[in-house]
Amino acid sequence: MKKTLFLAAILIVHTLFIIYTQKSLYPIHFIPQSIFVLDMIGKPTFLPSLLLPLFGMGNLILLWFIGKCFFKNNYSFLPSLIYAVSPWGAYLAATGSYYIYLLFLILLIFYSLLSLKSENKRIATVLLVISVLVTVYSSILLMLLVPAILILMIVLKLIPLNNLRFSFISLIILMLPLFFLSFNYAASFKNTLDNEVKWFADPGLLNSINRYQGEAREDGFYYLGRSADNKYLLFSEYGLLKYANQLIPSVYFTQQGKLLNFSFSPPITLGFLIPFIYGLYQVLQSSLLRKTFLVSTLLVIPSVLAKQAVDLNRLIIFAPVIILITSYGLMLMLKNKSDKRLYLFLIVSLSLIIFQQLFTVFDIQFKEKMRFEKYFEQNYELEK
Amino acid sequence: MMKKAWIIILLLITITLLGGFLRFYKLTDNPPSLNGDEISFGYAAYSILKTGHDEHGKFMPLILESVGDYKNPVPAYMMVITIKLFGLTDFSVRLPNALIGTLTIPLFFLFLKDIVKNKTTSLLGALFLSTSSWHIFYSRFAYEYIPATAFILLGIWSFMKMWDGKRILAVISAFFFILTMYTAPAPRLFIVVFVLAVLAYKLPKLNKTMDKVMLFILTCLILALPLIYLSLYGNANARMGMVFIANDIEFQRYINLQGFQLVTDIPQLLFFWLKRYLSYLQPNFIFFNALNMTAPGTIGLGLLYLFELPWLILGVREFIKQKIPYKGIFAIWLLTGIIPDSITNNQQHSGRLLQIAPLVIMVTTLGAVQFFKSILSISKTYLKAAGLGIFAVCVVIVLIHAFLTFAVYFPRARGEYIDEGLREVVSYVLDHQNNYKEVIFDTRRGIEGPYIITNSYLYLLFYSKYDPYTYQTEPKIFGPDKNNPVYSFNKYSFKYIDWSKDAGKKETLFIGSPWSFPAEGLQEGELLKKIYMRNGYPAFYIVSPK
Repeated sequence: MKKTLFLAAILIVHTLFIIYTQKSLYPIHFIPQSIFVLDMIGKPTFLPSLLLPLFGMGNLILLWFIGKCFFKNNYSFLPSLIYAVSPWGAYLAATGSYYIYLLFLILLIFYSLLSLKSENKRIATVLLVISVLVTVYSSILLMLLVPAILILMIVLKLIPLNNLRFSFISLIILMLPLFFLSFNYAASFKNTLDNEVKWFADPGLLNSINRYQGEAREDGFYYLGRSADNKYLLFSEYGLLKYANQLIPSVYFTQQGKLLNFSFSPPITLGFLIPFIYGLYQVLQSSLLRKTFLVSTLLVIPSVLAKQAVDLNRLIIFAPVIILITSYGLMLMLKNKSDKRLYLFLIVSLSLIIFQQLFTVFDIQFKEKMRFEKYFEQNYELEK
Repeated sequence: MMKKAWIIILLLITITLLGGFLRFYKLTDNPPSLNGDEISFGYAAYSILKTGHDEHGKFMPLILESVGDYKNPVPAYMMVITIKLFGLTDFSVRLPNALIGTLTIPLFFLFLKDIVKNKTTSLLGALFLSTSSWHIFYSRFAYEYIPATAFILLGIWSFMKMWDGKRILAVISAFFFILTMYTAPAPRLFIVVFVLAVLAYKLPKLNKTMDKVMLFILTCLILALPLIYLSLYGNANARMGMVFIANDIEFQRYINLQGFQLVTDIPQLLFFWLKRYLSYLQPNFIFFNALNMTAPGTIGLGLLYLFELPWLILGVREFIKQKIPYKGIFAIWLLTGIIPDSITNNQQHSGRLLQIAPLVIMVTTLGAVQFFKSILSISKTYLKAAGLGIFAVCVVIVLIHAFLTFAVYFPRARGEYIDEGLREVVSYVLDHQNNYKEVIFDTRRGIEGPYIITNSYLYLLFYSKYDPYTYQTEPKIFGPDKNNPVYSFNKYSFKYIDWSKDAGKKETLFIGSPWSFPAEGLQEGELLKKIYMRNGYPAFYIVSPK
């Protein structure tokens, strides 16, 4: 009862945060994105933006349950609490981001994978099949990514194949219509994919390669120029750079990536950085957690494929990983309060979290709308 | 044993010579021109050598007023020696840095040997420093952070040893720390924060070493007295005020929006600074573009080569795992070393970060050793060979890119930002000035438009070897118009060219960018010469109205 009340309290806090953000930013919202399958068969529908705050709350509830599976102690509320007070989820839900819905599906997949080991294995399998199916029918990138992640998890022996055999067979059968659609509407499929994959869209890169090779040729280094600065190498380096860019802490804990491309609110409050680093350090000590973390980094790929260096809208599907690591670190710090250094870090973290949280609320009220007006981008529109 | 020592010495000499070659080869051709700071240091040194006063008439100055940015004096005093030996040339200006940059290599070897107690690792570290694009790039300019880095290394090394060593180390450490503060602006803040942080860290053990600490502080205070005086009553902190983070364009335009209010906007500034501080971990900065050698948006060179990425990651792990002495001080060095650059209003500047270069290279070296150990421990020979082979190919490709960036892309991409073309302009002016009553330089330049302000008068003074005493004493005119500031001496004027008004001035030589003159309004014979940059774009037109 106590825990349910606590969950309700967290839900209220998050809802209030969304409403507050929505009111402060009104009438800004994302240009709605259609489910790609419906796009392909020529019946585009939009997810009503009002639904998305509900998915936001669903994410929070799922994080609550995932926290329970993961930590199995009194600190299992931490992931949902961090999500509730972080501007990231609130901003995207308030402005109607499609990726809040995709995050819901990712969390559902993750929860069902965790539940496969529980007594309710059958329910977990059905849940897994449904959630994967809805995901692959909803997003073209996740259509490729989610199966890849599942296969990698089996290859790395993070999940036994036996647990997924039935799910795989069901999924293959249920995904057949999607394959047929892809063949029948190949042009639409390609268009949708092109719309999602924009990292090659920057002509500057190709220009720079041509320029480099031209300059090298002028100075008599034609072959050296071609061997070190050709488009394959430069695109590989650029891809590596973009991938690495998604994995640096400042993207998640500072305003570096700019929420909605204009905001000064950090995705997650900076005070959580210390628990995150401590949590990450602990995660990397364990072989199983290390492998799981490495596989989970594939979730940054949609952001890698975006036009910007970091697309916080797409990157939110990786947020649970960051939140879980942070919660893990915070839990260990809270558990080991007797260690003076950890205690000191804990105090610093908590003070910073409270201070920045208050500052962010104040800042959203007085500055965010003005920033949007100054930095208007075509990804967003004002309600007519 | 003796034989092994000789091999180590021989290898160290080879590595140092390699480092020297990379720093000295075509030193005056690449970078293609002395930049504004180099020319300013150079002429100030020449002026001090000839008259004992800088170009503003200050006797043996401890702060150089220069162009109003109040530069640190040590680089200029170092150039006094080389200018005395080799005359006022580009080589004399760049020689001290290239030399100190080269000598830092064996110094770093000795430092590493003392810390990691392993000669092979130390040699590897020396090799990394000798081939570091970060260190090579700045060693080829007369850039004050190269000597500052060497002094900081010596200062921190003796400061570390001071705690368990002799008292004299406190004096040596204090000397190098304060010398660093006279050498470059960023260390003034870094040294203070670093020392305070280490003292706080060592607080529990402070009682046992109080005598050394007191001696250290006393020496610091005595040596820094002139600097403290200049900071309080002079303009030693002028530069700090100019570049403070609150004046950052991104902060002012997109975050603060309404003008910085000291009290209410402090939290905003604090979080902006924290964002800036953490952004030094960006891979883009570390591996691709920190040196700013190529055009924006292209892949250039970073603090480290791309193949050093796994070494850096492994190095951090090794640094945490291994028993390394003074680990706490190293951590403080890293954390405080970023502060000076992070509180400035410019984009991240790899030069101001050079003070942590030895530490970054040390960590990379630890990672490289572990990396090779892991590869060599692979039992299957073909896998081992394949691993090493693939990595070697990556290294070669990255090094070819680095070579091309230095030799080909950089001189073309950044020429106008380091005032390429002004040397040739002055040469033309000196050859022809007797035919004209006045010579007018446009103080703005840029290929596309007037987005760069140059101090062309310093290039004139430098390349004409203008008599410093004459320059200090002769009358100068400063135009009062803020929209078109005019500076004149002798027959030379430096201002914005306005052809609608200037076209009628006969017997006058005009030097300006192509856009300083009307595209098709020049009569035949008025355009006397075009000066081109290495990228083929015209840098300057030399024009005289008929």
